[in-house]
Amino acid sequence: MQSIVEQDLGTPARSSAKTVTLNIDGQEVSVPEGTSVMRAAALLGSKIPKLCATDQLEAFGSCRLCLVQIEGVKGLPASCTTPVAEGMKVTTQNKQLADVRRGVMELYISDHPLDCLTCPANGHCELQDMAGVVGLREVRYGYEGANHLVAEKDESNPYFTFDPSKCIVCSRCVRACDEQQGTLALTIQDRGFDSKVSPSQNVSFMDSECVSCGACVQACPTATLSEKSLIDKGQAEHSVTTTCAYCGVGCSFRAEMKGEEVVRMVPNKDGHANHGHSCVKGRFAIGYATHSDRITKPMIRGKITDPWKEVSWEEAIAYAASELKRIQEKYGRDSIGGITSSRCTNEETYLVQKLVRAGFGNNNVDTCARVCHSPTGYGLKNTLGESAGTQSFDSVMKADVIFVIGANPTDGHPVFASQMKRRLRQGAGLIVADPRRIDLVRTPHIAANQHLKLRPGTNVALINSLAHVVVTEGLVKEEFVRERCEIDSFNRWRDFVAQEKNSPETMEAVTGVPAADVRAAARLYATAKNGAIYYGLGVTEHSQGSTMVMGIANLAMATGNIGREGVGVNPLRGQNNVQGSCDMGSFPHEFPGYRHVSDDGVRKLFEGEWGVGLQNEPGLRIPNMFEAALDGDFKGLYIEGEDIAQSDPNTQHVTAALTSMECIIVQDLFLNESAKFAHVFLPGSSFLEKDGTFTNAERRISRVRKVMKPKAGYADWEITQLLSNAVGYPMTYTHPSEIMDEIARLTPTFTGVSFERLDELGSIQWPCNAGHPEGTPTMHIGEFVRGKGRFLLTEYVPTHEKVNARFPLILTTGRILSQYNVGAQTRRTENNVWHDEDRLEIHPHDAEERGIAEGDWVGIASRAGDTVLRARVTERVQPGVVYTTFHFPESGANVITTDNSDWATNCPEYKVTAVQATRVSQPSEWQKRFREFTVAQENFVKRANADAAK
Amino acid sequence: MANDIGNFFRSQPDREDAIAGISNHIKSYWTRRMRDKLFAQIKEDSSPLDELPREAILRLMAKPGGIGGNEPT
Repeated sequence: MQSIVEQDLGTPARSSAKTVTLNIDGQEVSVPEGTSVMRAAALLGSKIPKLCATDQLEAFGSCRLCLVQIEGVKGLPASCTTPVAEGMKVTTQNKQLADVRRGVMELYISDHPLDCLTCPANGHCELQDMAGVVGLREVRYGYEGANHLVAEKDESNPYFTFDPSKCIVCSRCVRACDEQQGTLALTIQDRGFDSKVSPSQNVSFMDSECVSCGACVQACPTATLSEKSLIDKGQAEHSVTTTCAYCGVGCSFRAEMKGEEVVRMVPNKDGHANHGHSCVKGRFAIGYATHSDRITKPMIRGKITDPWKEVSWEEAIAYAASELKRIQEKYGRDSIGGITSSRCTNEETYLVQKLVRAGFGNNNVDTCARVCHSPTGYGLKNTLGESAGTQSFDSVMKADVIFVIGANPTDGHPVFASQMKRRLRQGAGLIVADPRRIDLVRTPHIAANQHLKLRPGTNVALINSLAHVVVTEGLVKEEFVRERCEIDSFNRWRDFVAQEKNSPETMEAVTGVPAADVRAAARLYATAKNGAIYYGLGVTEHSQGSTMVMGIANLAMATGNIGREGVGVNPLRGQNNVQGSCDMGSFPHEFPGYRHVSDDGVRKLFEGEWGVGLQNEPGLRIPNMFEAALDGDFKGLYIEGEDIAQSDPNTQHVTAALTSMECIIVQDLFLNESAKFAHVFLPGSSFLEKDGTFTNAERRISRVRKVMKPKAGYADWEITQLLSNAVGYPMTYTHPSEIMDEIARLTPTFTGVSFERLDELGSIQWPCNAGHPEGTPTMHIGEFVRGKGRFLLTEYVPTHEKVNARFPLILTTGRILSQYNVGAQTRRTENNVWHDEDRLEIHPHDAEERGIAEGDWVGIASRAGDTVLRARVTERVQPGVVYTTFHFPESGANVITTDNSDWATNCPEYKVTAVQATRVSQPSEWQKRFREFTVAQENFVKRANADAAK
Repeated sequence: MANDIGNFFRSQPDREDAIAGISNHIKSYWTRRMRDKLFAQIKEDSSPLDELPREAILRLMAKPGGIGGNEPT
């Protein structure tokens, strides 16, 4: 069922330079060529009755309600499938049309339950509406005879119900699954009276290929497919437009509300990133915001072995501030710091880095990007001049060849993947470089031209060999390079990649990818009219992460694939606001806008605004904070929304560092893994309780709007402000919009951004300033941000993490669709039905060698530690490679990852860990200790609750 | 870590560019304490530094203060 506030114009919009003028019911209207008569009428305000048509899907012409009369055209054509023509004269209402429409509705209603008053769609049902619109007064066929009224409900999906007794077989759900989602899980089985919607081969939704995106539910004009929350709560009475807090697509949603309770989340058709589509997480997995695990009262304690004590906000803030001041007095100015996360809005992140710089007096501030896309920032800044991707998501619709490197978009960026799949189904070529056979390699109507199944840790060897082909086979776009790039750096790079050591034939022994496949892929990408590269953490989370990003930029520049739509270097930033947290300067070396702290001019600007002197030396990155803590130099930490004890590598190293600190302040929703080591817990807010902005992977800044009051009483930005005032640095903001105004004053790429402008435009892609008043969808048009593009030499340097007889396998990690990162949100929703534990994917050959069968407990040991997971035996991984996810803290995925990291940014090398796998029968020692520690910490919270209740 | 930085810049055709790149990177991203710790190890001759990053650090030690930007040369 569609949103309660959106109008449906019947068929999709068309864009054309040519306009067509026609006459509908005596009125003239001009529309782009290709527009349907139905949509043209709707734009005039004239609603032609419809049931199978919706403006999110291509016209189908099956319901026969939308028939019209067109002068000079025989019969009564369907207005949804009839394109406008110049001078066309259309009649949408007359007696003949009314009789036909009434007849159609009689047929529908003769086989439909008449329980409108108790139906969840009551008041918002398109079938009900059409019955009213056509003036249906009787059903002359009666209700005896064969019908579908006793068809059984399918309630297998945790979020929606399929009630076939109400189905009018309009096929909207089938088409939504095909066109919008691209999974093609639904079909219409049988013919005529026996026609019915069938998930896969007539199985339940849960047993089918359905990925629970909800597109079918949204498309359904009746209650056949209904959200369970809607059935339970009834229709919403208002809606608020906000932005999803999960992945880096940044889908826009209408939160449909009853008072302060969310009834359902409906993707916003006008969402610039998602165009009315969503995934299972954004649409359905919001229950964590009201989960019973939420902690809503501040707590403090002296030691982590002490029970928590619930206190007032005043006491908690005063205690936190006094501890931070005490620590600085004892250990020095640089002994404390802060960490932000993607859960923070831009405004919240900005305030934390301001508190650290102006309040703490140092630059010890870092963010979640450290462990994911920090190499993107480094690599793209040094080659192209800006620390961000170059395109909009929509650009993919103009790509002729799509090259996906180290990313799994159908799991990590599902809504963008749906758009990418649409382009691939139109015929674009596809190259995938990944050690695993990700779903995109072979999916309905899509098959990769090349799957380069490289060994983990050999990305740079691969990109160099691809570049070798481009350079030695005359595939360089010489004119582009001459005009747009530094010729000296290009010549140096060309001589470097042309060396025999970088040839596909020589590198085959390193990467494991056949030379012929590399040559074919290089030619396909380089000769495409538009070649676009999309990459993810399979590029960045390596010891040569930054080097590989530079290699990608080199390849894109050499082939002229920058500076227009359909091309580009597109980092698929994993989180809702990781781009924003970087933009806001939550980095030890950079102010907002990616300007170094040593830059005197920039620093004076901030000193002038903030009224305090600022340090000109880089501060500690997150891994450096751990080292400094173990050295006894770093003792206090303020963490907002990040769970370093679960997400950072080498867990035992991290927890040793946390244990050595004297005051850890965690601001979060739940008792997460880091909070178990904390001394102050400040209850934070979910995205439903926030006002602010997020910035997605396209540099798109979108509004986050509060739909309910913060459960703990303060917004996250207010808590940071309270802490700042308590440590002695005054902050007096009254609304997040004031924070954005300050950001805009100080950051050249954000000059034109304000809450007002965002409301006006819907979203803004930075840079947004005098030169680009409505933002910048495509970067580097005509000129790179740094002027000329720079080529950098990318020598392949093998990782230190070597396999040997003791650790003969390589472990790599990744995400899955239904769970999200450390799982703090999604584990507290029904999404657990799809993935309730992290499993170890192991190739059948490796499994057989070790006597491991599906579901067996497997001990995985590395140089850092060991843990135990259950096995999933699959050919998705290649022999010698194993894979797991990291969504459950008890699985200890990061107990085995190491401290190896990218040379430039310290981004952890999560994708390459040498391990051994052995069949076991009990949890690891770490897991046993973890369980005991967790139980003890959870009991401390329960005791605090009980003591407070007395 | 300094050796890993050196491994990236080693491929620069000009040795002086490579040395400048390494020292610039360390100036831009390492805290003063981290740099001082490395300087101390070099003075004690206890650091397992490769030749190229060693040369870069020695030059950094010879300069008074001075922080660079964040671009490799």
